[in-house]
Amino acid sequence: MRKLAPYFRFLVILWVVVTVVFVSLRLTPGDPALLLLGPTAGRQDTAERLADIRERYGLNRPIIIQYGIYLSDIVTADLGKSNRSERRVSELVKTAAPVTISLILLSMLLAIPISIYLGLTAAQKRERPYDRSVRTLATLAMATPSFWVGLLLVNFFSIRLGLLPPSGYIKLFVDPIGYFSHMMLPVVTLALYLIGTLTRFVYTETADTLEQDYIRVSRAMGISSKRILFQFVARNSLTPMIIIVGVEVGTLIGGAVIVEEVFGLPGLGRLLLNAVLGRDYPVVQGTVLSITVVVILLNILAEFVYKLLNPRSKI
Amino acid sequence: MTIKLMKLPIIIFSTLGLLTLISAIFPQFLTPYHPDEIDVTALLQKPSWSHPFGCDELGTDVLARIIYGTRLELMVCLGSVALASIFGIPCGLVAGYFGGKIDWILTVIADSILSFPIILFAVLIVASLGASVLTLVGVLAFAFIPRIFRLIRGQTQIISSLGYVRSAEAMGVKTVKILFLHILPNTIGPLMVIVPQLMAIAVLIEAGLSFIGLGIQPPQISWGSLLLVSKNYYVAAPWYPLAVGGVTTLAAAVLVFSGDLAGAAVNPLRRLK
Amino acid sequence: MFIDKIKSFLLTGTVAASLTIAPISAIADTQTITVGLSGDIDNFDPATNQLISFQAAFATTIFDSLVGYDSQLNIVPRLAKSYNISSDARIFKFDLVDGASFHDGSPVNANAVISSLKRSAELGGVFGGPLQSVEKFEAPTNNTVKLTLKSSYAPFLTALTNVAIIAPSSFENAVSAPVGSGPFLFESWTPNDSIILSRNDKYWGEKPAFSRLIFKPIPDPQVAMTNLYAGAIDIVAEPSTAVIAQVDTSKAQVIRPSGSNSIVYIEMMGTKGTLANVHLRRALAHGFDRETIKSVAYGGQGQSEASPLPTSSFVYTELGGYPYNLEKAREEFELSGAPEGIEIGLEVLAGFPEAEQMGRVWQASLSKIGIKLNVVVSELSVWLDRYVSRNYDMTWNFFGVSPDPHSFFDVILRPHLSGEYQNQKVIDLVKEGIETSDNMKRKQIYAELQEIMVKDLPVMAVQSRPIASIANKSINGLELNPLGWPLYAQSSKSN
Repeated sequence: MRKLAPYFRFLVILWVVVTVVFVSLRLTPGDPALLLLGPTAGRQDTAERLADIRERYGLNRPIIIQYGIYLSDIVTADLGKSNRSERRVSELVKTAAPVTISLILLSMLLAIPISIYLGLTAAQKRERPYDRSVRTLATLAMATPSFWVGLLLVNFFSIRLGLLPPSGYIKLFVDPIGYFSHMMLPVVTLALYLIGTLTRFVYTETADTLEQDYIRVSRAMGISSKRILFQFVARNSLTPMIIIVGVEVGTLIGGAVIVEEVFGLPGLGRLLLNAVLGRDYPVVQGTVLSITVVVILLNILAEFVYKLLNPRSKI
Repeated sequence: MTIKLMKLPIIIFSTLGLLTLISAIFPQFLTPYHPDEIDVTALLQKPSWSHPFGCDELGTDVLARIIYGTRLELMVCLGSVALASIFGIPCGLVAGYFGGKIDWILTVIADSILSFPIILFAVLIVASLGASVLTLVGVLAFAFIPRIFRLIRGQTQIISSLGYVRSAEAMGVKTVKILFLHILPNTIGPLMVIVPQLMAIAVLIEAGLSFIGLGIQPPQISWGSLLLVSKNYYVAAPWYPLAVGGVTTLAAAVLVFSGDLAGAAVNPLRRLK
Repeated sequence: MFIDKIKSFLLTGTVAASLTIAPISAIADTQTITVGLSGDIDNFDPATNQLISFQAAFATTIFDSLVGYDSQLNIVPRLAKSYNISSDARIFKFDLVDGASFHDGSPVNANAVISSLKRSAELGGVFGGPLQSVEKFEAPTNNTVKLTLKSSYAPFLTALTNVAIIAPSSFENAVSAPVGSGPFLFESWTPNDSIILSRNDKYWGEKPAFSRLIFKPIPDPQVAMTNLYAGAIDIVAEPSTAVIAQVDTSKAQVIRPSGSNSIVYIEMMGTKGTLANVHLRRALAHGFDRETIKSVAYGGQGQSEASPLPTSSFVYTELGGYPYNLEKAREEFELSGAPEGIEIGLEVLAGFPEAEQMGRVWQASLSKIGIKLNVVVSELSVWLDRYVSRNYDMTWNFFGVSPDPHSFFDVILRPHLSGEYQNQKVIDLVKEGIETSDNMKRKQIYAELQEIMVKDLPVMAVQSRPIASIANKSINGLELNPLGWPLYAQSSKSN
């Protein structure tokens, strides 16, 4: 029973999220049928068609029944069909997911090594100009609106230098070079925020570890400071980073919404944004559900790995 | 020596804070221009001594608009954090102090909200209710509640295991009194660290939502709505979006730094958290 | 696994190196034209998708109609090689072109055309609505379509330009897989990424000079322009007014139509009834600084006239209207008896910076006579909700008026006539307008209607929207009609 508790928790969290999404969509203005018809929906000769649309997508049923259908669809892993394009939601998510996953994965691959290096070295040179500038830059990187950075990067690298494509997406297996050149600017934009956060985190952890007795002892024993830093300290201060990276996945997905918009990437963020704006309920629900499941699973995974590396921890 | 070094940033930050406050309450003291004044002869005028950040697409002084925009910006930041505290602090105290079932339920709810990226949630709500200061405050507060809740819960757990709380309990002091008189004051320090950070997040999210067209909409002036408009001119008048974006970045960075400072004051060893 | 990661890192490195040698250049391929659209399109059924951008992109590419427009909005034959209209505008006969076929290979014959028209009539809306007045659909021969209307309907031919003919086999799946008979056929749609069309090599008319037409949704106008300058796209189809004014003409060309039939309106009569008093509406009109708004919000472009119809319309009447005059505005305001400091809301759709600039200018003027204008900008679904229920004080809107003046009265004015704007005279005149086929008589009718519109101000015309497409210099022969539809099929691309 105790072993099952985390899974139960996971299910409850999912249920809360699913319900919040459903309720916030239904209780707010914006009639999807009206949007399908456009500005002439108020005319008398279209009233009948409005009723047809509501019937077709089950929008005329009582909310509680819609909720029941929605829950049972989720249980049977059926995400339904888009109200607008009539495509299967699972298909839409499947097409869009690789874009967002690439974006986040590449940003992490870029940001993690850089942050570790900057964080460790800055902590070692505490209160010196190097340390101060690294920390200031990290904070600025965190505090810059990402779309603003994105536009600046596009302006410089795509327009002035003509080096990189300003937007669009090419599949990795179709044209690997095209894929990387299209991903470069979005990844840098998103990674910048991550570098800021992670550098600050690594710095704090390392600064703490460096104050520990065993490090002082090692230093007194004459072990080279480089070795101390990259062997002892790094190991100790980097394991908590796993948890932070897990948590940041959520933030990165949020950031991806904006970065995808700037760079015209057909990922989950834009899928969701357009679905929300068009009141395409099934697509909104399906996308949010998929994202949440992934975020929660990654967090569980991060905790699991952390426990594996750090068996005595209480987290 | 460290004390001297610490003082300088405090002076800088309090000056900036004061300026922000004046901008929000008495903007007319800081600029001779009115933010709605239209001057057809000064459309997208370059920065000059009389218009340090230039003029916008209607010939209005950009600096004046930034200054007048502070009010909504501050309302969003302070409003969301205050609202989140009203709900987050009591829940955190209760969950941390009593533990058990109520703790489990509150934590699960908090985790559910946390597992939901703020921007996604904001998109969902703002798109349906329309962008206004009120919706933004509500959405951000909703997203901040679990963050404040978790902090207070953790602190409460630590503090309530301490001797003096135990003895107060033993002496029969009312639980409410223990929570608000003995435990709450001891959570203020960590709270001061997280609050500026949440405010920085609020500034950034407001800007991001504006970019995708879901932020506070012009002609209401907030930094996000200014960014949204100014980015249309980043070829013809690059200094315009640069000025607005620069001020936004600076504000968010200063907020994060002041969180760091508060952190250092609470725990001198840790300069960052 | 780990090695893969390292490899991908290395790849990124080599990409960067190779890029510095060969910068991303314009798509050298002259067979593909790529167009940036301001939004994605998810419904490809021409009978139900009434978005302007959908029509502009596909009405002349995937689809054909019986009759269409040339670049001057003259009605020209398309699937109907000739037509015959009875003098009372009740019987319309069309002879179909020979050898036309749908993209699925089936022939475009009288039966197919009739079933497609009937489907549009059933689905109604702006496009199919006029077809509901057809009493009899007949096919005297395999290549002739004869439509008999219940009563005379002068604007019928113009209405048919909006009705795309689609293959009967595609009725069920038109939303996702449209089958028309136009010069391009629908190949694929990847949401938020691209819509790909390819040349219809069996097209009955003149075949396009290029083989692929790709549409890419790029919502941000600045991002669209950077794509154009970088050569990643060839055409920006619907640039905003601010963007048109900023084009670097050494890098790109601005293509404008001969005129603009797209008119911006302020609809002043919502169910809230705030502006029920005509004097208050006139006060607002006198406080509307047309000159400043034109120069500030519309970059000095477009025609700012009192009439709600475009100057190119054959019935257009020049009217004095309400010149900007705060004295007169104050007088009208006092006549209206509305309280000093009254607050009036103006609903504006997000994504149109010029509309909200117009709001700012108007706000500044009105504040001088004691009226507080609240400009509310909302995104489409929220705006549309209020628009359709007319739950507003006043709302901004724009509409592409077809060459027949009736379209304005049918689409923009009609909802008000059945609600807050009670005027039997107008209802009668509108009816007379569609039942009269003599153009001289129609001129008189619509002159009177325009006068009443300006006098009563249920809807105030702002001005014509400057419309244009922006194209790279390698694009030749692209034209826009005054509704803003780029005529892609006739263009070509050089190196």
